[in-house]
Amino acid sequence: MASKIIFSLILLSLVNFSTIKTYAETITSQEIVNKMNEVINPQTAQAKAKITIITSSGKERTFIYDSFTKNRGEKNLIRYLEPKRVKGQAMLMLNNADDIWAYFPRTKRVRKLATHAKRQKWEGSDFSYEDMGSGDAFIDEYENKLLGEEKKENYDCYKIELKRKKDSDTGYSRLIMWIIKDNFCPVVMNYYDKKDTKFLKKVLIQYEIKDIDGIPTGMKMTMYNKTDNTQTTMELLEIKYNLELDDSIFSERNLRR
Amino acid sequence: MKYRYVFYRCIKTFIIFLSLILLPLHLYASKLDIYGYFQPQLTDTSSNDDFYQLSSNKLRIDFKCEYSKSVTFGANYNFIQYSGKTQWNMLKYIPEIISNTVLANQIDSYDILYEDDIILDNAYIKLSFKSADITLGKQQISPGTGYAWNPTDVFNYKDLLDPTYEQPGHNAYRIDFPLKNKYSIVLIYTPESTLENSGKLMRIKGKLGHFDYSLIGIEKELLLTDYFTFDDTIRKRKILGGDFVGEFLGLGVWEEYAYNFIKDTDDFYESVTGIDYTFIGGTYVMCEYYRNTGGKDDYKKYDLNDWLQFITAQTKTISRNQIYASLTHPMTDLITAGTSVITSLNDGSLSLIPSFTYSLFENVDLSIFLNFNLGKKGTNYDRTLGNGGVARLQVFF
Repeated sequence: MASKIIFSLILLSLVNFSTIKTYAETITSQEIVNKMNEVINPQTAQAKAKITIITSSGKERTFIYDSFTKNRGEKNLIRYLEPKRVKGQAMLMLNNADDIWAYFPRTKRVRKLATHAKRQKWEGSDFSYEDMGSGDAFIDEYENKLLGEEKKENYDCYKIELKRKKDSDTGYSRLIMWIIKDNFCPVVMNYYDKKDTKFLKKVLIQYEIKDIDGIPTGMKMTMYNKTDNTQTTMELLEIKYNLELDDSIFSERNLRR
Repeated sequence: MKYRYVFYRCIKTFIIFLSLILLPLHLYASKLDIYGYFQPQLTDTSSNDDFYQLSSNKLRIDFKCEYSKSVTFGANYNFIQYSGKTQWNMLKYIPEIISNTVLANQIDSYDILYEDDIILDNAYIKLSFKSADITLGKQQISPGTGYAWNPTDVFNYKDLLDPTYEQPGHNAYRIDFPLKNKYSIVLIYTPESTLENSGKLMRIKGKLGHFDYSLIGIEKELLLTDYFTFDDTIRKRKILGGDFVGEFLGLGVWEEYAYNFIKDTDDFYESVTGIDYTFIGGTYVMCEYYRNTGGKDDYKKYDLNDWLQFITAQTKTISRNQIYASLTHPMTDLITAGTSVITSLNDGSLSLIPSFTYSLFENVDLSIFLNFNLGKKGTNYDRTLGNGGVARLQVFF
């Protein structure tokens, strides 16, 4: 599960400048969300990232992992490098995480997980897979509404509200996003409680958005948990885009490697 | 002659010297990874008015070396040291009504000793070809989709206190053939003294929708000890079975089945059916039903062999039908608490296993498992068998 979250974080940090356009005032909220969804799901990516968790008691935990993604997030593989406790653990997600396999090197076992495992927190972090809306979750699970335009984190942004659809079982009643007007990168996201639409549970902020090989990339992002008073920061240590990634990378055989 | 001897001595010394110089360089160049953990553990047991402690220190050192993408070497040594009560009599941990049938002068025969040990637990080389992976040497083998029980796993014994704990390595030759994306074949051969009594396993794995499934055939001898006479009986065993795991109506579901053909005695089958679910907030619940027709359906029929074959891991259960249910919840970002319940449906007995894990520091975990038996006398989880607990610290390096 954890790996999916990490992967999703990477996806979120990838913003495609090729989509930059000057939009007329008449742009709809659906178009903004669609555009954002496109830019946070690159065709292929390979990254090394570091997650730092600050617990409610002030303790720090760090994870480093490699990740691979293909087909705009349809295929994902994540392998933990640190800490030693989880080194070698790997997660394979196919079909936009509808199929998940976990590998545990201590037992040499590969186990298929049900999709509800996405609700588990990642190694004590403030992220769950659902937080990031990898795949088309922001489109499929929520109805959207443009609330206006605001300056946020020094960027001119669209302010968008996403409300959970009636038939959706997603873990949040609504989200508020500030999406950069120039490149459709979501710079701030507020997550509200599943039942109480006014109870703010988490806030995600992207920092250091840089242009790397023509792609704007959030090199650092932090999730602030307002309930537990904890925070989790993800930093990209290495990132490559538009690579040729063979399908064999996204196989159970490679998961065991 | 003397010169030749000196020459060979020089050559030998030179080779050893060269090896000492080159080996570390070679290992460095080929990315030798050394890691593992240190695990001090304290086990407490109270039975009637007695209270005993066994402490152990385990050091596991793993080596992994990727010579290339096609060649990987892996191994680990376990160093284990025991202190405290290292000699246990099995008869103390079975119902009195059964242990009383043993003659007084034979009681010492039922002692188990925990002795310090150094074990080459795993040592294997994996050769990866385009069409197959070949793994040769001592390696972990863990078939099956079950959590607490694995009917198709004839190699390992699971401790219900912590079913996810690592399993030992087995001497085996293994070939994995991936067939396109959806299928694979696994062949395992575990050599014994003759071809006939060696273990053989074939597993065909596939994917169907959001389900993984496999069909499995196994041939492996079954060792059963008669604990009245201490005679060992080895019987030919063949197993046909299969398993699947996937999702149905939002629940994780799995099934594992094995039909055991035993030469010169009754056949039996084992099956495990499980479901699990994760709630928003991370609370995880799972439940598994295990049926073993080799077990007994009336606790009044349990005998010395049933108990001791179970204690020594020759059989997986005493009673025929059991349920394992578990709930875990992340209390804080570093603490997870849970409770497992094992119940025998045949005799109504129950064992409660509260657990607690705490990430003390980076790479330092503390786990505590308690065990309370709550069944009536003579049943699978007889309350007079005592209660206990395990405190385990793991320091990973």
